[in-house]
Amino acid sequence: MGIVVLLLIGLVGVGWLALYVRSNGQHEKPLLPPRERPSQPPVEIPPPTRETHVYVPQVEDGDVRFQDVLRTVPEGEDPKIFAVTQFLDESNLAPGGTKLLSVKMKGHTAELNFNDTLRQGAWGSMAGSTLLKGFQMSLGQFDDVNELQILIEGQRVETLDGHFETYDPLPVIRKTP
Amino acid sequence: MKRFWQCLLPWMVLAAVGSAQTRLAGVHFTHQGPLPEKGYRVGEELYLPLHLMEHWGWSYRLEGDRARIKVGEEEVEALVRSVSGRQTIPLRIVTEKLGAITEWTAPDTLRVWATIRAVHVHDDKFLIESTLEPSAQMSVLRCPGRIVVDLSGAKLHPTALLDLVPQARVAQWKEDIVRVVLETDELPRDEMLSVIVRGKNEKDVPPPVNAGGPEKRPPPVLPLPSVGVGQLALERETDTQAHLALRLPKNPSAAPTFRRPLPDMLEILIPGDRFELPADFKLNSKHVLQAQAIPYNGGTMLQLQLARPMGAEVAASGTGVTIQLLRPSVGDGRLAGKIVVVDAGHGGHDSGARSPKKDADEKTVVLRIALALSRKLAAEGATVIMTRKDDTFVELSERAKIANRNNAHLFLSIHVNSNTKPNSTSGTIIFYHKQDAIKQLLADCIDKEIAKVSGLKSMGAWSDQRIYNSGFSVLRNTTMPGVLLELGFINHDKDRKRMLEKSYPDDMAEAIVKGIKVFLGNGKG
Repeated sequence: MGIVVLLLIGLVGVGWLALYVRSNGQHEKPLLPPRERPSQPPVEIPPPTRETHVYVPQVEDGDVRFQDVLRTVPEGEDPKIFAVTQFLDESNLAPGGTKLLSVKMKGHTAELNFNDTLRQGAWGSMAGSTLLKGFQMSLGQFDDVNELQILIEGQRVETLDGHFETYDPLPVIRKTP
Repeated sequence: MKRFWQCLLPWMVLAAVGSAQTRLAGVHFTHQGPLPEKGYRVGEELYLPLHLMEHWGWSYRLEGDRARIKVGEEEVEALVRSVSGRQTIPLRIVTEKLGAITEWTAPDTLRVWATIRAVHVHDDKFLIESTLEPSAQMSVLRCPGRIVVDLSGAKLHPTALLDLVPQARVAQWKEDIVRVVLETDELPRDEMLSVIVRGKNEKDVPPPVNAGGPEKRPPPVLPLPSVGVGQLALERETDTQAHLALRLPKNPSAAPTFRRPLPDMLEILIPGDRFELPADFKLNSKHVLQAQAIPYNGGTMLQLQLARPMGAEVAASGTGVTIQLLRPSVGDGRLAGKIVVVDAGHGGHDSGARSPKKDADEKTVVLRIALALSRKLAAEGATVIMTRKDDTFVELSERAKIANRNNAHLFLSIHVNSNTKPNSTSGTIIFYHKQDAIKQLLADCIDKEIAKVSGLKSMGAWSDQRIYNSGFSVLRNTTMPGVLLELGFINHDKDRKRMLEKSYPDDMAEAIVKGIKVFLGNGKG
């Protein structure tokens, strides 16, 4: 009997303790009102900007000159692909749907692999030379590239425009002062 | 005794070190190059024997233990020190007082550079402000047109004032050459360039700045170039060539260029130097009938009337200009019997350039012209080989091989042009390869005939390097005189309208045949 009474007293004690703890947790109030933070704009650390030169052809008195404009390379994009693609976009030289599939480095030679649409291009000698020089200048800004090889769907092509050979690698053109 | 040596030892070491630190050293002074005698290097200073200053035109006078050194309008003072028994001045201190830049280079040579402190380029005029005097050389580049000023023996000061028009730029091009480039089609003239040598301490280097930007400082007025007498001599002559040497009172300020207003007339433009030929001048040549010097744009134009069209190579030489005249080796005066390859560009799946409205493509237009040309050439008695006679594709490399395989005398590649901007450019261009004098002559002869009948602007005869460094494949790979003809811009409305006219192929063909005959010597341009 004594043991039963003791067990009951113990149970009551434990129950009371549990209720006490629970009620305290529910009604707990902060000792101090929440301090208002000073109104500062959130500080965001911008990702490092990468800029690349894009060479945009301009016709002046019959000659073609390249305007050098700086463009920011979108995050996650290869600067070499961006430089060549932007040149094509801004020069309107490639047929619509042309895509630069990849730029792979083999030693110091950049292999530009285009989709088949580039074959549909129609260029006179001026436009053809502008196209090649645009590629050569776009890649000439990268110190690790000395030459470029044009590929269409992975294959070398004798010529793009019917005037200048593209079967072998072309030297890049580096901008001089 | 031991104490005596102990006292002496430090002095012996000091003497040895001192002696080892004084050694002979050379001086490389601005563009003037190395001094013939050496000075003495002590630490980082070079002590220069007084008399060596005379090599640079400096003078000095001694006042006690100091020398007052006069350099142009500048005067600086330096302490005179005796080194190896000779009176010397500390050259680095002196030149740096004058605003120069100095640096030790191996092996024990002190380099002294003039410092370019300001460059002003406005209205096709260059005003350079420098300490010490650099060598200034103007030259002209083409494709695109540029005037280049090379300041040798100079360094560009990091804070130099650059007051430039947008077409101009300045850079340290080589270790000792500052290059100023201005994009322009002007020819360089003496009065375009002024170099002012100013001392380091003068305060007048930066021009006053107002709200509208840096004030344009007019370049100082230079004296008019004096008119000297040039000597034109025929150095050697054969049936196929003539070599002329023009000796001038003063070397040209830039490379000479030439143009051909008529197939049998050459005009050699010599910038920056006016000269006349002697009153009793006569040239005993069977190729050059007449020569005269005409004032031109501040310089002189040497005009040569030739007995027949000839190729030309013109170059600056140490004492003037050399002129090489070359008669085409196919120039026996007859078109009949010649083998001519006519190359209609593109074909098959390669349409070549297309009009923006896609109502005309290059392969069709050029085939019509090529067929008309073949008929006309055959009528003149030439043997004609066409790279294609219909709408078929021919590999680029095969076109040149056809001409070479058949030992052709002439190669004509027919094209029409296009560029990146519709309706921006109109006209015909006849391309020749690089600087080939004979191919250039053929291009000039054909261009002049086409200009008479095309109804389009003649943009002239161009080197193919003007649009692409290695030139056209077909011109590079053919071994005979040849040209690539761009007979209008298919993406220009006016040109396209003309090239689609029924008469255009025959008009072009006739003009090309006439031009070939002038080139060969059996036709008058």
